[in-house]
Amino acid sequence: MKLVETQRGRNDRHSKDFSWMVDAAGKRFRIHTDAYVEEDVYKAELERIFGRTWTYVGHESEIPTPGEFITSYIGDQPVIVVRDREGTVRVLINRCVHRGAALCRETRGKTRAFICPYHGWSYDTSGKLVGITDRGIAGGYDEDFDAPEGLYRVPQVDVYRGFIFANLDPEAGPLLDHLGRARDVIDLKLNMSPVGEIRLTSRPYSVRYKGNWKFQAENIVDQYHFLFVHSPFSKLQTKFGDTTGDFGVHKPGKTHAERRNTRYHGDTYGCEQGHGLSFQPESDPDNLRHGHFAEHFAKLAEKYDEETLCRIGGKCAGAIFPNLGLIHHQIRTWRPLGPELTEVTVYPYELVGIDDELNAGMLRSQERFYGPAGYGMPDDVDIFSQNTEGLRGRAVEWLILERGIGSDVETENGDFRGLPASEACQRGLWRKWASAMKGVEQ
Amino acid sequence: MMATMSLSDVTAAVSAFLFHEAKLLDDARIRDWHALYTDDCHYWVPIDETRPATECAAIINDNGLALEERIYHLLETTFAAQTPKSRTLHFITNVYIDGSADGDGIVVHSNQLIFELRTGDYRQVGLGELRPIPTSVTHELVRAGESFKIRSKTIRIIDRDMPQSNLTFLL
Repeated sequence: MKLVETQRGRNDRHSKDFSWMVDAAGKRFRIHTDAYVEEDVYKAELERIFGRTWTYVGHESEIPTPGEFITSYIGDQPVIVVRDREGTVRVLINRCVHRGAALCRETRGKTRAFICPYHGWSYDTSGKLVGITDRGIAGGYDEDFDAPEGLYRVPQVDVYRGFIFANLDPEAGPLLDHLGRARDVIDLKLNMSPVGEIRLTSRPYSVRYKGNWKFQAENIVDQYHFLFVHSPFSKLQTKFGDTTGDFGVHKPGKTHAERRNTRYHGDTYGCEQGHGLSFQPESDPDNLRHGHFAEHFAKLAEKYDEETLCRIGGKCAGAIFPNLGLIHHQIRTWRPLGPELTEVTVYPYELVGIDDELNAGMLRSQERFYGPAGYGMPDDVDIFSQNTEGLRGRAVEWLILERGIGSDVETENGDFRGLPASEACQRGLWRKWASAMKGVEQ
Repeated sequence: MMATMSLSDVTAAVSAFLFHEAKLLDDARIRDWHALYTDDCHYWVPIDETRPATECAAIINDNGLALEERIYHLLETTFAAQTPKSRTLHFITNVYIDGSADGDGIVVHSNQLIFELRTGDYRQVGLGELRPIPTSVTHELVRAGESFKIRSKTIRIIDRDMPQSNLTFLL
């Protein structure tokens, strides 16, 4: 038994073609209801999307020293993300290769070895099997026992600026190709730090909702909903502004038109790899000379030209296919638990090298909007349940995703650039989804 | 006055006050509930109460003004997560005055089992679910005339470091 065995083909029991569920031609772009609710589709997604795509499994700052680990998931498969004795990040299936028990029962920790609680098999932090209890006794294992080398190592692991990604498909292309333009979002977010680094210090928020995981992937970059679902939040902004912890993140707007102007500028992208990206650079560089981060931006101005500074100091958000979101000062990840059940975890991060006061301010800002008692995210989550309820009306087969399709422009590398009021981001997700969900040649 | 009262009398007075607070919440008398709090109050629902607020986010971390905003949000805006609104029932036990606490306030611990329900069309996804929320609560109370005001309330939900659902009502 080898450490790395190819899984390709073994789990492709579902050869059915689901790509027809995205009906896209000319100015038509519609999604079939079943793509959000059907068990068959969900099962196929686990193999064809989560089984073959680079998925985010954790951040290096969560495991800074050898022996530190976190547990995570690739789709529905449990993994341990661990820094081994040599300092290499390993992603190991959290399953004893003997009789299948989960090895690790904590979300994080530090250890020299993983010892199976069932029969005591032990593995070092690189996943290597280092001990079988009572191996040679009568009734134990023979000399010629074909012992496994160790835990199943996810065949591809790569790190981009601290973000750890893993891919169960040994033949998948490199991470950087998968990230493509999404690197811009990661870069802009991290370049807010004078040393270009973030650290996950806070405990995360976590919610579960009764709805498909793609609702979250679509929603995090949907500028359109903000003005409606979050209009109560805008009302709070108008009344309380920066006094209750917003920390200059959201601009108040007295009228719908004012708020629309704030949200609808910049570019969005629906990427070939399935990412939806939204860039709203600061339109007036003078604004960066005021406010909580004024001194900080003054320092960054020594490093970057004004255009780049406005991109760093503006807003940007990304839904990085299939399970990673970046918005505000947080890493967000979503985990499918079924066609109609999803877990979302929000990790507020610190910018390394800035005043503690600024990091604390950003935490308060996130408390106010996100989290189960915040003034924004619980409303999105409630809408996701409403989507699930509404989709039970199967007599209506298709959902419409055509907003702004006429303004989409295909770029040289296959991404589509759209306007921020459009649904260009979401179309990117679904184009990739359709190509991944084609039937597999048997 | 408190100094002259026996511990059981203080416990009875404080318990009555906690029941009163719970009744206001369960009856959705939000402004009356808010009036129980001091202007400089702290209303805190931590994820990890052992970590300082400067480095760890909380579920709720309201000072006086932020609590005012929370009340405004509930009463003056209409938002999806409270349409329809939650109903609650609070069950309070294990009321225990912390005699070791310093300062001029009274620190009281209680266990509060909160049931929450959103009805509306209860047949729909996301509605009609009766949720038990077991909590351990610490109040710091200060005397206000014949009664008390709440200077701080900390609510530790038993699964506070696990996924939570909608907590946009008043706990």
